[in-house]
Amino acid sequence: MQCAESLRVQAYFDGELDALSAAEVERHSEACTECRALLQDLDRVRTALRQDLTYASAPPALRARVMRALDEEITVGSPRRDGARLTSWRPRPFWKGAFSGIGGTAIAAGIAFFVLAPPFTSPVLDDLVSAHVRSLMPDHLIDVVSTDKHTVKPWFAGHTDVSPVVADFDQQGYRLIGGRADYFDHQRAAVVVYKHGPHVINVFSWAADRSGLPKNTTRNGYHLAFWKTGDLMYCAVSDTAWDELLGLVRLLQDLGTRDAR
Amino acid sequence: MTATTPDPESTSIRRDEERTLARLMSALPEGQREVLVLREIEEMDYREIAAVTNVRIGTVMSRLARARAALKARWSLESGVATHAVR
Repeated sequence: MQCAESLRVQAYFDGELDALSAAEVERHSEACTECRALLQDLDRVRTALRQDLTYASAPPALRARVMRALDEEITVGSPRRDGARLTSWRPRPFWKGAFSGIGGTAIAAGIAFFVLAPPFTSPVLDDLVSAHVRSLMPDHLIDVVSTDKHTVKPWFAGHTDVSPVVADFDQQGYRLIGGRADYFDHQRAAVVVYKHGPHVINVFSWAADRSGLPKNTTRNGYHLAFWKTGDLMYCAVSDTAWDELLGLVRLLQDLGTRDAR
Repeated sequence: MTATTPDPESTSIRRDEERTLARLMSALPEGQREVLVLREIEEMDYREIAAVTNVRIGTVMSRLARARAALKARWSLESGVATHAVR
């Protein structure tokens, strides 16, 4: 038997959960003997591996792939990256094992990593991607299940700090399946959840501050599209194709400007 | 190696464990071994692992879970270490 929470327990163990979810997992593990045992096992495996395999390094094939991935990031990456961001990256044993002893390559990796650092240090993107990933875990996708905007929109009033545009675009292929409240950027953000074919699209919305609109971007296979309507910032996140994601964005933007009139 | 000489018996047990772990690791499917090494040895987070292995974060999570479960199961089966070694 495996508890449905086991993946979340693992994410907790790996330090991947926000404070709120971490507290939930802690509460759950107090009651669930299986998850308590899982936490112990995870710790034992980690301790053993770190003690005994400290000198193990990434296999050569993987090392090559890491280098290739880095090369691609450099060529594909946006050109506006600047050196100032380097200082914000905390030192980590990232390449420690994988590149020890390969002098020139290690230096190349250092440069590549520095170029890579800016996207990873953007807390907004990080939060959005992890919120999207969390939402894909069992029972975390939607708080209010409804295909009716007249149910979803009022629900947000009591559960979040914002009132976003909500509509069902079933005709156009974007089915409204519900809404969710998520902690994001220190406020309760509203998340409207759509399904496009097999893909889940989370549309986050939160009160815009003075910071500029982030550029549309891709993180770990998830596309993030940003826009602003009135005083709300929106971000649609999904692993669907770009033009399909932007299709929904256009529909929501049209509706938003019509509403504002 | 530290300056103090560990007693021969514990050294030998330790060597056995290393061999067992290394062997069990190498028995894992490549994708699972990869995420496990990147997580536990290289100390990357899920995003970084997803980026360098070019899979989704969900896949990283499920592979990690399977790798850890398989390793733990075989390890306790073979040595009993997993169930007794913790103080």
